[in-house]
Amino acid sequence: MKREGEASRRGLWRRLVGPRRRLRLTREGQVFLAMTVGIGLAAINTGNNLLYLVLGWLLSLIVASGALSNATLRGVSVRRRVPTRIFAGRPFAMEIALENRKTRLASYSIEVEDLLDGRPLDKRCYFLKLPPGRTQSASYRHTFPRRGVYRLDGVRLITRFPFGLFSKSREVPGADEVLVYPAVRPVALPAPRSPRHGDASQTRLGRRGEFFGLREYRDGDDSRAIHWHSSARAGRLLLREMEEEAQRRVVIEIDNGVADLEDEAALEALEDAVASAASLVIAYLRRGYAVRVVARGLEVPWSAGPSHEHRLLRALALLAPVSPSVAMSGRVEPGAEMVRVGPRAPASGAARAAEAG
Amino acid sequence: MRFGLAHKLTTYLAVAFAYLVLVLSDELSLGPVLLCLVGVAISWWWDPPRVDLERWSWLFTGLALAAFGYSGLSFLTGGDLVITGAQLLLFLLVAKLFGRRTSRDYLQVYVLSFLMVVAATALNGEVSFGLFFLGYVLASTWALILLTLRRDMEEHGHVPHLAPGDDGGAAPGRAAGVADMRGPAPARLLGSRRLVGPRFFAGTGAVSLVIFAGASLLFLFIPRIGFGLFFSNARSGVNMAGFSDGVKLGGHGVIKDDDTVVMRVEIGPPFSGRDAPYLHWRGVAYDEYTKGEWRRSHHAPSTAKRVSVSGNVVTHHLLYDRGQLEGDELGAHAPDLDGAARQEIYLEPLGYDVLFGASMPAAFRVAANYRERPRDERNDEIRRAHTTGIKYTVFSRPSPPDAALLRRAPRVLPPGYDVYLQLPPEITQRVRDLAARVVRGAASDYDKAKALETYLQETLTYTLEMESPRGREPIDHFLFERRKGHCEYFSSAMTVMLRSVGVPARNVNGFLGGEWNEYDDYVAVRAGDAHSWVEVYFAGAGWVTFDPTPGTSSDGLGRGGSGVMDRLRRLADTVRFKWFKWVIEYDLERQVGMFKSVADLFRGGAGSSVGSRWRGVRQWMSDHRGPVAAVVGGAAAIGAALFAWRRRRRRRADEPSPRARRSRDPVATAYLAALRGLARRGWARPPSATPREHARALARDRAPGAAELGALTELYYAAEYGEPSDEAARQRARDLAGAIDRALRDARHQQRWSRWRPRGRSRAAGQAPRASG
Repeated sequence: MKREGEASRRGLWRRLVGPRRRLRLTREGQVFLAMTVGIGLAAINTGNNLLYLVLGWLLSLIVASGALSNATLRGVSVRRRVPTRIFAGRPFAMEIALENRKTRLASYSIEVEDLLDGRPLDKRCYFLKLPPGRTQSASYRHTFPRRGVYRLDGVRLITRFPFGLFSKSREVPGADEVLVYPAVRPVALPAPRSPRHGDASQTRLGRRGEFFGLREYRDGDDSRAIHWHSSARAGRLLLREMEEEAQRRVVIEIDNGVADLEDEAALEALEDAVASAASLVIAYLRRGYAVRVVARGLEVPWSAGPSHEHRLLRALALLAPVSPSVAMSGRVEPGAEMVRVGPRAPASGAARAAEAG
Repeated sequence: MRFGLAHKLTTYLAVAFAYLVLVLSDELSLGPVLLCLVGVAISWWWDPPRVDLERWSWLFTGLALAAFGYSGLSFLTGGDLVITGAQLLLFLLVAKLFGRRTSRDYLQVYVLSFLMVVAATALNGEVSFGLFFLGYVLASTWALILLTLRRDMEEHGHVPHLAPGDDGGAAPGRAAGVADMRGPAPARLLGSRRLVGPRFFAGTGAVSLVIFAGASLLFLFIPRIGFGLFFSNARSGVNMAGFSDGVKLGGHGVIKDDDTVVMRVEIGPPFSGRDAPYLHWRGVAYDEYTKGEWRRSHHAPSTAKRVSVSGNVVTHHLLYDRGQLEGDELGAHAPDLDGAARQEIYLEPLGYDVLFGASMPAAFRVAANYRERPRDERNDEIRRAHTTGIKYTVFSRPSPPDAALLRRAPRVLPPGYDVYLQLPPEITQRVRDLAARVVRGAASDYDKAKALETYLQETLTYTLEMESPRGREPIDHFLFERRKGHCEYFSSAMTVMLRSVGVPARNVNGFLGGEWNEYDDYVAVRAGDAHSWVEVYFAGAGWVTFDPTPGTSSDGLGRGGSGVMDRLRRLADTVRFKWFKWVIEYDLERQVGMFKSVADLFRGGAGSSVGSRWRGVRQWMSDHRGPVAAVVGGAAAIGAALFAWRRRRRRRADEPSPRARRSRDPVATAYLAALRGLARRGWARPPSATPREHARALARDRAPGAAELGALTELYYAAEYGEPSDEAARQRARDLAGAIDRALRDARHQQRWSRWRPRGRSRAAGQAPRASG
């Protein structure tokens, strides 16, 4: 009970004084503080009341600086818009929207930095003036070096307003998980096994581009394929689905077996292989292939189209190294191309290893 | 106002106030002051692109170095450190103003102007400091805020978040938006009129006033533990003669018309108010008269006093002729200040160290100054060196002893008092004879003094017109030939005549009367109130004041009139007095007194004047409940109406006014017209879509006029968010809007026609527009 009481008191205090803020002295602030101390010493030494007046002014500037910077950071909320596709090693733009919820006061000179695992990213967004009741957006550019899931904790609002003496910051919670796909690069596709593959269409479905049916829009789908008429009638986004060129099928097999998880070179080689696999996935899917990805402990079944690309890239982004004793998932598919990539494959990352069946 | 201009203007305002604060000290040489003024004025136009700053930077660096050299030489050859430093600051400021380019240069300008203000604290103790310091606080607050924005712009403006054309892997739909969010270019922002406006200046101006109020509060509350160890600031005072060790009769000009206030005295009844009688503010007493000149001789008795110390305060009790008494004998005459008239005196720096007090002073109470060497105090004066003015307390007994007592006084002189009978040989016999003739029949020294006083008042005339005695003894010339003169002649004549008949007397210089200031309840004593009179010694009663100058007691403190100009003059003096009292001479004693007043206010103590006033206010409010309630209710209603009006106005402000709509760019007008036409045909822009997204969506749906709308949208973006459109762009926008209109009409026509055609052909005619509405 006592603890609860303390907590509620702390909550009340926090509501009254606002969220916790951090204060850092700028270089100009250090000079200013040194001058204030100097003037204070001179005032005491000389007893000159006008120096006391100047000292009072300097001290009240410090107080006003604190109050105004608080007012600048108060009532400001942040939204982050994460791009749908982020690739490792490739820069992306993260959009930050700042809303000034105050009704009368504009906020000036706010920097926003994203926090990753509690640490700021290297880039900041800057907002010069945020009028009351308005929202503005800016973006910063960043590159994640590796694939995987990154957790953005929140954002930090920083301002040096009004006098540039102090840098005051406030952290705004707002966790987001960012999935970073493996790095992709231009790849040359291995030649098809036989001319039959890729040419003959299934009589049931016909050629790619022919209308097949409608389905609901899913995140990652190509917005160009939305069928607006039907969407308007249904009241939800519907997508035109085209015939699948199912006969053009490829299996990408990636060997994620790593014997020693401490072996940096092996892990790097696996990363390279994953990047190659991701590049192949995109290249094949863009050429209309149905793609299946198999790895040790992982199997993503056949499919094609943008949503499948997202599914495959997601699986590759999260693919973890496993013991070589784990068996390769999935069965051998007769009549399909097979591309095997793995740490032991050539540095180019892609090689047609075998033809199943 | 453009941001760049606003920043420049506020910077120059701050510089101007710092310059005025420093220059009005009147301590700097005219040359540097004028040079700086001209330099600052020219530097206003010394801006890129008008001037290539790089090309001329060597010149101002050289000038700054020369100023350093000159100042160093001036100091080494005996120049005052503060004055030399202040002049150097002026030169450096001008050099910096000619080279201001980045925020860093502006910052250096502010540092220099701040140092000028600091230098002024040592040179300018006048009200002008307070006035222009307030201006400096206001201007520098604006300037500092704008500097912070400018510096942040410089740091962020040239670092675009995203290179043009690079979507950085962002979703295609967002890339365009991201490209618009690139960091602003400082040059463009410096010309922006949207960043700062009247609201910004009003808001930050209010902030700076709050800062000044905060500074004043802190000023009052910062503990005064000053030691004044190495430095003491001087204040320009009043230059007046008459209080040095020697005063020549008729040796200085007429000062009667000089209105400069030299002393302000807070004194209680019966000596306060416009009807109060004049008091003689005693300063210097002279014992030796030789060749028309009064002197404080080395033979004059040193001031007999007993000093008591209490905390930081030293009280000098004047003993007068009891100075030779010791031990128990003195104990019987222990100084007693009960019933004495207390005066709080604020003395301007006069260039003399003598302290003034109402005749006859019993004690002087001054702040302790243990570093001061003992002064040469004679003839019952108290002296204290001061260069900034001084505040002290005097206890006096203005009423003379009873005449009967004075008549009974024995003719006994204490040791050393024979100097007050000194007469130079040049005093003519006819002066002595006149004195003897006037006092004939007077039984006592008191009667003799009264007789001489009356004789001089009644038979001679007061005048301020000076006339040289042409080598004659001045008193003889005054009494027998000119027969008129000013106060010094009257007092000198009476002193000399008293001495010639054997009555010990001395000539005293000080001030007479003053003017009552009704705004702050004090007596303002002006330089024109300077006066001379006579003190006569009576054994057992001490020194008694006699004033032989005619017409001296007729005015009273109410002089000065009650016209508007007189009131304004007194009001201005009140401001100066308050400045002196609450700023320049604000000390620990006053601080403690203020804390006690504040404490009394909260406690509602009986001794608090503020507390009693508050109680009075409460009483008045309870007596007038009805009117008070009506006023409060009315104020609340007005406040509520004002609040509602402002709210409504703000809501309206959110919507663009018809006038604002009319003032749109023609390209935007054409775009909006096209948009309205499309909406009528069922191609309305959804609220969630940006203009560009809408154009793309229409292109995807093969809407009529979609291609033209795409081009028009780009023109619209350029006009709304870029530079204002030129005539070519406007014409093109009008053409495109016309094309869209035609395409819509064609589509409508086609749609109508298709209803009359077979179904198969209708389907082949293309995509039908969306249902409108």
